[in-house]
Amino acid sequence: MIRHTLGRLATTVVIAAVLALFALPMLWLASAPFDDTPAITTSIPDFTLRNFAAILDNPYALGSIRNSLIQGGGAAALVVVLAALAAYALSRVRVPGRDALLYLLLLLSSVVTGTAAMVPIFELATRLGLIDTHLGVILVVSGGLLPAAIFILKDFMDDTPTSYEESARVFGATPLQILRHIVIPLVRPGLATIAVWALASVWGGFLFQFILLRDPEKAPGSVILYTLYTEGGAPKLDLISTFSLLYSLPVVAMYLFVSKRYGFRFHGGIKT
Amino acid sequence: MTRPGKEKPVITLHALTKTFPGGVHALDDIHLTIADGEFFALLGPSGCGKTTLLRTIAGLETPTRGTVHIDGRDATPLPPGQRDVAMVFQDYAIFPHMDVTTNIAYPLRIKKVPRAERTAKAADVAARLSLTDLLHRRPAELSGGQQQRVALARAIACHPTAFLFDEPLSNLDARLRLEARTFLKRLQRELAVTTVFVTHDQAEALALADRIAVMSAGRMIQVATPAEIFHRPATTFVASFIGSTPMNLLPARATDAALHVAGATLPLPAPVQDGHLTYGVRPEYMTLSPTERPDAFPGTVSVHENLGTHTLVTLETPATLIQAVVPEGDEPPLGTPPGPSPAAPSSTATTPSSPRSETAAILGLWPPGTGSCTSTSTSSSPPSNSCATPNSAADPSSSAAPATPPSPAPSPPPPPTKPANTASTPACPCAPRSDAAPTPSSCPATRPPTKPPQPASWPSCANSPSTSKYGAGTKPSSAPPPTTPKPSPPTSSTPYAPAPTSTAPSASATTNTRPNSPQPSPNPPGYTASPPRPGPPP
Ligand SMILES: Nc1ncnc2c1ncn2[C@@H]1O[C@H](COP(=O)(O)OP(=O)(O)O)[C@@H](O)[C@H]1O
Ligand SMILES: [Mg+2]
Repeated sequence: MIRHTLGRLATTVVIAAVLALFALPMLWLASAPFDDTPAITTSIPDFTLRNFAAILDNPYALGSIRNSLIQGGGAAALVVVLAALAAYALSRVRVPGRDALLYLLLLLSSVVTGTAAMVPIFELATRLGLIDTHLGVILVVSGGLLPAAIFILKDFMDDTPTSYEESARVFGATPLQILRHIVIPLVRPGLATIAVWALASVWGGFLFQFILLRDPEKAPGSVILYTLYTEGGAPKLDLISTFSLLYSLPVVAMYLFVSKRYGFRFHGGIKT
Repeated sequence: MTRPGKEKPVITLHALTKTFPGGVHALDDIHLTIADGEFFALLGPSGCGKTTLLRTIAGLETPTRGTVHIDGRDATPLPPGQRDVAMVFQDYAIFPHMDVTTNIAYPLRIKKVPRAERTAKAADVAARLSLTDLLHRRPAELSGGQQQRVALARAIACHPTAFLFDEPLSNLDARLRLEARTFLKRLQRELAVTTVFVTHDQAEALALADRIAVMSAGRMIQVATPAEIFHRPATTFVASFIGSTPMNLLPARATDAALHVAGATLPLPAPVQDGHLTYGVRPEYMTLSPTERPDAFPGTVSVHENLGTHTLVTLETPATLIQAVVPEGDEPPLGTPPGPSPAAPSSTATTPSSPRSETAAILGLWPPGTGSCTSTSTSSSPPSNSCATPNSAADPSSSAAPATPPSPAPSPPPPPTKPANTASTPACPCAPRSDAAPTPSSCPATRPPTKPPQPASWPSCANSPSTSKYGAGTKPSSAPPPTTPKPSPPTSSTPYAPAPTSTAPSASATTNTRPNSPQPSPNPPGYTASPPRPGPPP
C-alpha cells in the first residue's frame, strides 16, 4: 500500500517536472513582454505595455510578420495542392515500386532541406534569380515538405473507398469534378492538417530564409527576431519576448481555427 | 413483363474476357443478351467474376477481349459516364459529405440541371422511395436499409437505360433483406428499366429475376428462367448451388429402360444411353414411405433438421445419404432399422412416384461422356403448375398419368388447401429442353453450354401461373400466359416418371395444384397463400 502510494507520488513528481520544463518557457513568453525589465528568468511582471510600442517602432517587425504570412501561406498552398495531386495519383494508380519511391523521397527530404544541400541550393537560386524573392523561399521550403505531405495524404486517400469515385464516374463526372466534388471534401481533414503543418514549419524556419533573403524588407519574422540584438551582441530581451509573442499569435489562432473547423488527424478515414 | 428474347436487346456481351494483371481469369468468353425491361440476375459463388462482369458492363473495367453493346451502341470504348447506365455498389457508395437530397441530385448536377429543378426532382424520387423525411440527413445518420434506398434513388434519378446492382441486399440484415427484396422487385416492375443484379444468394435470384445467369469461375454455366434453373439445372454445379436444401445427387446406372439408383429401380424418364449417370432429385420432391417399395430408396432415418414448417430428413442408405423434406409432424422416427425393413420405421424415400408438387424432382443425368440429356422424355408429364394456388381444381398429377395434359380430372381429392406437398414426386430425367420450360426435371448434360433462353419461357414462377407445361413434349401449350401471381412455393407437379407404384401411401394425394389446365389459368392474381399446412400426411 505504501509502496503503491510512493510509486504514484514518484510518477506524479516526474510528470510535474517534465511539464514544468515545457511550461516555463511558455510562462516566460506570457509574462516577459509585459515586464518593464524582463530578464531570462520568469517572474511576476512589473506591468507595462511599453515593449509593444517599442517593437512597433522597429521598421521591419510588422513587415516581417506579413512576409512570414506570404511565405508560409504560399508554401502551405503549394504543398497542399501538389501533395494532394501526387498522393491521389499514387493512391489510385498502380505504379511499380511506389512504396519504395515514397520512402526514398521521405528520406531524401531531410537532406534536401538540411544543411547539406545549402550550398547547391543557394547556387541554384542565384542562377535562377530567386535570391531575395518570396518565390525562392516558397519553392525551396515546399520541396522539403512535400515528401512527408505526400506520405501522409496518401494514407488518407488510401482509406477513401474507390467506390465513391467510381460511382461518380458512372454518373459521368470528369476527373476534375470527381476531385472537386468527392475526393477533396472527403480528405479535407488531411488537407487541413497538411496546410497547418506546412505553414507552421515555414513560420519557424530560419536557415533557408536567412540564406535566400538578403533584403530585410523581405525577411520573415524568424529572421527579424535574430536582428533584435544590441550592437554589442546582447539580446534585447524586452523586444525579443514581445516580438516572439506577437509572432506566435497568428499560428496559435490559425491552429485553433483549423482544429475547430476540420479537426486534425494524421491518418485517413472518413469523417462525415 | 418482358419475355426475354423477344424484345430488343439492351445489353449484349460478346466473347467478353477479362484477365487481371496477376493472371486471374475473372471472365472467360462470356456471351449474353439482356432484353429490354428484364430483371436479370448474375448468380454464382463468391469470386466467380460477377462483380467484374458488372463493372465491365459499367465501363469500370476494360475487357481484355470482347465487346459490350448497350442499347444498340458499341460501348466497349466508351468511358463509364457515356454508357447511360447507373450502378449501385455493394457498399452503396453514397457520398458521406452530402445530405440525401444532394446525393440523389448528384447525377443531375453532373448533367448541369439547374439547382432548383434537380432539388425538385430529387424530392420526387425520394418521395417514391419513402425518403422524404430524410432529405436533410447525412448518410451516417441513416440505417442500412435507408442508405440502400438512397443509393437506389440516386440511380433512378439519372434515368439510365439500365441499372446495375452489385449485391444490393447483402449488406442488410436477414429480415430487412426480405422486405427490400419485395420492394426492389416492385420497383423494377414499376420502372420497367432493364436491371442486371449480382447476387451470391440463390434464393434472392430465384425470387427476383426474370432470368438468371449462373456463373462459376468466370464462365456462364447456365442462363435461363428461375423455374428452369430450378427444375432443369444444366450441370451438377448448378443443381447443387440452387435450392435451399441441397439436391440429392446420386450415382445411377441406366440399363434397358430402367435406372438403378441407390437401391431403387426407377423407370427411365427419358431415353438415355445406357451407362453411368447422375440422378438428381430435390429433397422437396421426395416423399417417405414406411414400407419398402421397388421404386424407393431403402434406408434408415438418421437425422431430422427442423426447417420450420417442414423437416429435412436424412436417410442413410447403404451407399449414400438421401434427404427428403417432409411436412412438420410427418417425420418418421429416427434410427429405424437400417435396411429396408418393410416395417414401418425405416422409411424409404420415394422419389419418383407420384408427383409432388411441381418441382418435381430434378434429375440430372449426366452421362459421363457428354451425352446431354436432352432427349425428350417419353413420358409426357402432366402439367403441373407451378404455383400452388389454392385452387380447386386438382390436378391429378399423381403418378401415373403423365401423358395427359392436365386434365382437370379430379383426381385425388384435393385437399383444398394444401398445395403442394403431398405427393411424392417423380424424378424426371431430362425433359426435353425445348419445350417444356420448367420441367421438373433437369437434365443436364454434363456441361451444356449455356443455352439460349427458351422461347417460350415461362415467367418466373413467381408470377406466372403457367400453364402447365411441364413436362415433356406432349403438352402443347405453348406460351403460357402468365397469370396469376403466385403465392409461394411453386408446386406443380409433374410427374415425370410415371410412378409405377400406386400411390404409395403418401403419394396419393396429389397436390392440388392449381388448375393446371393448359389454358391460362384464370387464377386471379391474388395470393393465395396456401393454407398453412396441409394435408395430412398419410
Ligand atoms: N482488381 C483486381 N485485380 C486482380 N484480380 C481481381 C481484381 N478484381 C477481382 N479480381 C479477381 O477476379 C475474380 C473475380 O472477382 P469478382 O468479380 O469480384 O468476384 P465476385 O463478385 O463474383 O465475388 C476473383 O478471383 C478476384 O480475386
Ligand atoms: Mg462481388
